[in-house]
Amino acid sequence: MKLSARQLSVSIGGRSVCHKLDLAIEAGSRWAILGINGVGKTTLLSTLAGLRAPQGGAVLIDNTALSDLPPRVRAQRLGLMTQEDSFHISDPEVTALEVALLGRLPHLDWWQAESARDEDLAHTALAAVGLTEIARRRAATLSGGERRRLALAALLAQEVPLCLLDEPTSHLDMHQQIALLDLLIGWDGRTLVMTLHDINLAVRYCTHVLLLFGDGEWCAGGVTEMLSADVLTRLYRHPVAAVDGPRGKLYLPD
Amino acid sequence: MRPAIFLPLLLLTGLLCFALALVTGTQGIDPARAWQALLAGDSLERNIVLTLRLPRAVAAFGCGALLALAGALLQALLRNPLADPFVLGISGGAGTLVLLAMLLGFSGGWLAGAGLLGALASLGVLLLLAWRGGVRPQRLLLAGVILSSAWGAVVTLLLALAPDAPLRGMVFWLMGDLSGVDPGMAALPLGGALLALLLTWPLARGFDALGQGELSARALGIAVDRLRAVTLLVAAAVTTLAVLAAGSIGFVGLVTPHLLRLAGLRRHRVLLPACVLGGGTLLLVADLAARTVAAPLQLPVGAVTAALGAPVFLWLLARDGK
Repeated sequence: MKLSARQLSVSIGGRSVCHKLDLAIEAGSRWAILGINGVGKTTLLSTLAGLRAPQGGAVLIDNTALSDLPPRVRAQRLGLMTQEDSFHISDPEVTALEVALLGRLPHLDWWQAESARDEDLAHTALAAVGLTEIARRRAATLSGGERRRLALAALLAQEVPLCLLDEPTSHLDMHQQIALLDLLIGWDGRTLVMTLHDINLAVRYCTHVLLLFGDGEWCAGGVTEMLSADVLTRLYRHPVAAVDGPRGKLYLPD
Repeated sequence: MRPAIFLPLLLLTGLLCFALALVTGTQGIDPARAWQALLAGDSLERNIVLTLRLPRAVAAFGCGALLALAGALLQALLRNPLADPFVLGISGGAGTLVLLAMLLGFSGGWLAGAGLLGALASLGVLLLLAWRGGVRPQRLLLAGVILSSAWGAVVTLLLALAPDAPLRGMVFWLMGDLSGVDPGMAALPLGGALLALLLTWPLARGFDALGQGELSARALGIAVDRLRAVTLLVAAAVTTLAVLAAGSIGFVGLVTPHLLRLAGLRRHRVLLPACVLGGGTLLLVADLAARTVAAPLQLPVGAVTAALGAPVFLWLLARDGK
């Protein structure tokens, strides 16, 4: 399943996030959206998820505009892991398993109860992110990193070919970041679009990058073609140096 | 224990309390005779059971169901466990406008319209004050408290201007009272509660999802705006119906969903029907207490629910702050 943006213009608070963005996110590719804080990565991601109307242009799944899809049909194809999860605030009693089960929601008609298969999928998803032990625990008692993994489990249970993730690695330590991204790219054939702060994670795990420079300026393409110390210096408005690491180039602040 | 098992249990409890309400009162009637009285039997006993206790019990159950459902809906919608039509001044708005309409000489459908208008006006003011890209719990509660006291001031004014004769009845009605229930209308609240349940039960999973945050709920395919609009309207209508039938009875809407959640019923597919059964039973028992504790004196049921509910509310508030 292919996600594309056609002449997409997005702005927030009077500032342009991207102007006439054309993007073809092919099935199975993995995209990172990079840019400084406040440049509009989250805003763009929710626009790509069909949850925010763009100022111009359209987002399409295959050849259908997202805005033409009923919300539930959209949610059967495209899932979003948000940056902040708040299940622990508004419902302090909700358990990890119940949160994971919510991922099944787009596949259930309102009169249907969750089937054994739905429960299995939720358990499998929790196991995949290493949360089997705490399935019955209250989500409010989980650590920040565990909550990120729980949000990922819900997305996994949603069984969507297109996954959008807003800073999936925030709150995670180095080991957990690698473990989570290893898990993500291990999902066969799923298309991933994620916002990231760590350039080196993007280099290691993504096939493509979309760079947001502010004022609507953007460029997109393959990781190796797009990224260089010069481009990143301009992107982050801070000198960036490239050094040789064990797996190829590493980018570090100068 | 699976949550769904609670529904038959609650139903059974409700029926038992219902039976208890039919046989309890100043005029002692034992269960067997009450049953006979329902079918045929002695005219005085039949009269007491059929025209006094039965309609009152049905109305109490229906109003409790309405209030608990309104509480559960508002709590889910505002993502705030302290929401309830009484605390937020929604039933105050309905009550005040109904009272005003009464004093102006309106009756019947006009009263219902006035009540709905008052409830919607309260909701509108609340959202206007507390909505900052999502409901801010502190602002909401503060606005609700202020709104409630504002409606209270209007009510005081209206009562001061009202003629003496209907005053006592009005005060009782305002405090929440089921003694004046019209037998012909007694089943209306219960019917309304069941209708509201039918309308909102299909949205139950949406409420569960909303607990994860609005964005997540929308990403899961929930049409949040539509959900919100339907729920607000139903909550306002349900509150109005309860207020019309029995005045503004506090705390049933707040406490019932909480007690049920504490028992493990958090998912709305079970919680909503459980609120109908549990809230109905709670108010039925409270009304039973109201008419028997100080018999032959009858207390307004709102005083009983407030006496029980206020400490529970404070406890929840203290617990929530931790």
